Amino acid sequence: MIRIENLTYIYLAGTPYEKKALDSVSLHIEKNSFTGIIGSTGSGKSTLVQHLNGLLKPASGTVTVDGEDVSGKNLKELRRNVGLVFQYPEHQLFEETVYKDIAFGLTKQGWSEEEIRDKVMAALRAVDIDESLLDKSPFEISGGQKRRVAIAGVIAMKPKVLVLDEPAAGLDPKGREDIYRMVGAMHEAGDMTVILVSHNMEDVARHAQRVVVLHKGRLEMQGTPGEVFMQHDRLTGMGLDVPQITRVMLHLKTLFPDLSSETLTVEDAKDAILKYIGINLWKEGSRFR
Amino acid sequence: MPDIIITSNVRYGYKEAHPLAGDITFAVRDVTLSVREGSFTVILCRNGSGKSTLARLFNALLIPDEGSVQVMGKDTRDASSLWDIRRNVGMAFQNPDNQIVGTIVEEDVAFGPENLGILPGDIRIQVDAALRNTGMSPYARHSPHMLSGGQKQRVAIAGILAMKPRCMILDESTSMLDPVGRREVLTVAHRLNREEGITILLITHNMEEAVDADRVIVMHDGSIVLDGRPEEIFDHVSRMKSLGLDVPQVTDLFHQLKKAGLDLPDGIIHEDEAIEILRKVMVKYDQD
Amino acid sequence: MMKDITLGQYIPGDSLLHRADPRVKMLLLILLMAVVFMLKDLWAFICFMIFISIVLLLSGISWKMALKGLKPILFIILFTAVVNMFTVPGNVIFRLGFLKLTDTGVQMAVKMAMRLILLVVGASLLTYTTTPISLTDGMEKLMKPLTRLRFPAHEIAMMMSIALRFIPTILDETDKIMKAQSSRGADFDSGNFIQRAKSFVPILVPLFVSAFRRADELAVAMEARCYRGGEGRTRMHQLRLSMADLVITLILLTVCASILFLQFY
Repeated sequence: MIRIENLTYIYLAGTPYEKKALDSVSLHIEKNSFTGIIGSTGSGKSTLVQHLNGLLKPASGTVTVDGEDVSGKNLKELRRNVGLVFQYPEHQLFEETVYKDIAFGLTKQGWSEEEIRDKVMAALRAVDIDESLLDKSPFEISGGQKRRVAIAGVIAMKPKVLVLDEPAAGLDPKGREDIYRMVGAMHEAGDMTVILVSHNMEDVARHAQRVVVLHKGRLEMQGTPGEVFMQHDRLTGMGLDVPQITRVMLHLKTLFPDLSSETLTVEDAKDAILKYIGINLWKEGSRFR
Repeated sequence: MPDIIITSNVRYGYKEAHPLAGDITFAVRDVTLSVREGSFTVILCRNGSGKSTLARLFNALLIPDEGSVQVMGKDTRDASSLWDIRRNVGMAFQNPDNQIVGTIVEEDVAFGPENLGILPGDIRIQVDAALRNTGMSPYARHSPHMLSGGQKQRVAIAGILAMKPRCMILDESTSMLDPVGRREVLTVAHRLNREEGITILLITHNMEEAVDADRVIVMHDGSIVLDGRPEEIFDHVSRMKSLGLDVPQVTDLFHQLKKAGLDLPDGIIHEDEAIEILRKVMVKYDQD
Repeated sequence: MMKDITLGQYIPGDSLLHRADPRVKMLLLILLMAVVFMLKDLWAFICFMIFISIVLLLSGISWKMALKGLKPILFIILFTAVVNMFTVPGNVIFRLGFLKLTDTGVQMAVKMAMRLILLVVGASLLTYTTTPISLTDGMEKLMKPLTRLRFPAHEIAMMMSIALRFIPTILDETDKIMKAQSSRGADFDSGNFIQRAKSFVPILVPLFVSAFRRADELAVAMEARCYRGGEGRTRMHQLRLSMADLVITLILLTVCASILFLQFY
């Protein structure tokens, strides 16, 4: 779906502040997959995703989405295919009503009035926002609702690729969980490649099928969350945190080699420990919790 | 140690018609608490649970509708002690960009002492000390705009420190930062508490930041629902989750293992102790 | 680029001018402007030009940089020069139809151009050797006597320095909002004038909303840091007169006085 070959991007090229933001990054992302891109601030992760819809042009190397080179002429088509949700997307709301804001992108695409309405309603359902908010001003709804409305404005265009840059930034635990559950459901509903950019490893661990780690503009690791998080020393060196539970289990594994290794969630860890100490009775009981 | 902040039955509520954000309701309901001088207290709660309102009541940015707030024995309603209270109870906010006034780091740090009318030579000494204490001395002549989020928050903290406060409130100061920045700010806060004896009140929704506190206060809908040591608070795993908050993953693990029938102690919130206990348990089962 | 706008036009250096007090530099600039308007003879202009060239050289600023400020008014200079050349009466040097080029006209045009150049270069000398912060500081101090007439000197200086502080932040934000809205299908480059103006609404509304929020938060933060206006406020950096100030004042006074003296007598 997405092929990035030897992508290099230079920030503020030709000035004294010149900096290589991306350094020959090559990456393939499969259709309908869920990929997490992690890296600390300044690792180049935001720069990378801005190439996917042509906001930035590669200094060298190529990026193709669905076989089309992003440096090509048809930016409109590209941006319809690749929906990019920026950090704090609620800061971009501007219309008089929630409906108009969600419909903003669609109105530029020449759909009929009814088609737009249908698409807005579908997007609204996907982000779990009540219809009664449609005629409200986007400035008078709650913070969490604003963020959902802003995300709805992107998914209303039915992108083939949905890129979310820190979608849960600044939210409390419940808010984070709600947003991720929503993104997970959208991915499962099918026909969408999801790319999640985050520095929160727990969120990535729980949702992504593959993880890509960027550090100082270079692609340092990629693999399943389990494979990547196993190398927790390297990640820590890059200013990234491995989920606490993974750290604990990796530590225990050095003492008890038979312990199963890939533990990314508390449930995994509980299963692994109970399996190790051979109490299996609980399994029956726990289903009725 | 005496109490630096004492509130009794504080009630505060208003519905503000914000020109851009619509009606916002802020509320604090019947909050009675006292904060011991020199302590490190974390106020944990979901967004919009009245925590920032409470923080602003602590340094007389807001005056309670009912009840009273006393800071160092002075009532915040008393206008004559206003500046004394604000100087001694410093406050850092959420967005690092929106609290830095100066165009150069040291100029910004000097802003507070300048407002207090301190002599130029003394300001210099206090600014240098504050920059040193927050590890920002190398950036003294930098433009704040070029700094990372964590560094900007350290500048904001230095700006408060330069006023020589006895208490510092960090109102969600970590919520917009990445993990590195968050750690920077927490490290500085803990060091100031330990070495300078400054009372710290940290408001957050991130439970990891509460683990090393002396005391955790959980707020919900403007009221205090839990108050105690972190290990006591986090043992209420289901209660915390129902409040939309989280507990450390090891606490959650122990909770689940206990449910499954393992005999494990309560109050485990740190990684190291969790590893140690699990090791012992597993060794025991290995021998069986 | 955008990132460094807080430094304004400031070119770091360690010359006499760099070290001088902003108040002195501002007052001297006013003096210099007044003298430039009093120059009449061509040789006086040339002497002054030579003097300014030396100052530029010593301050480490090239003529190219110094003349940058002329760009926006280049057209006006050329236009008035041409008008002068052909309309001022005098001995005709050259005739093109009804247009007469006179010797007095050419002289007038050259003097006019030099006068404008001197003014612009003089002002650039101030902005290139003084950081915006010292400029606002100096301005506040100079305007201080006016506070007796209820002139808000401190408030104006504070507003200017806050504006300087926030310009880069808001530029960054504009860039981000533009990118976000283009991702949602906004198009800023096509259509007629009105359509294009309209296409900026999705940028301007969020930008204003955010500016209001910032202003709100900043006000609370300033209040929490005990800000209560200029009354009773001290400054960490005291502006103090130094040898540099004395030296540049003496040099400028001597040069101006001798040129004027020679011109009038």
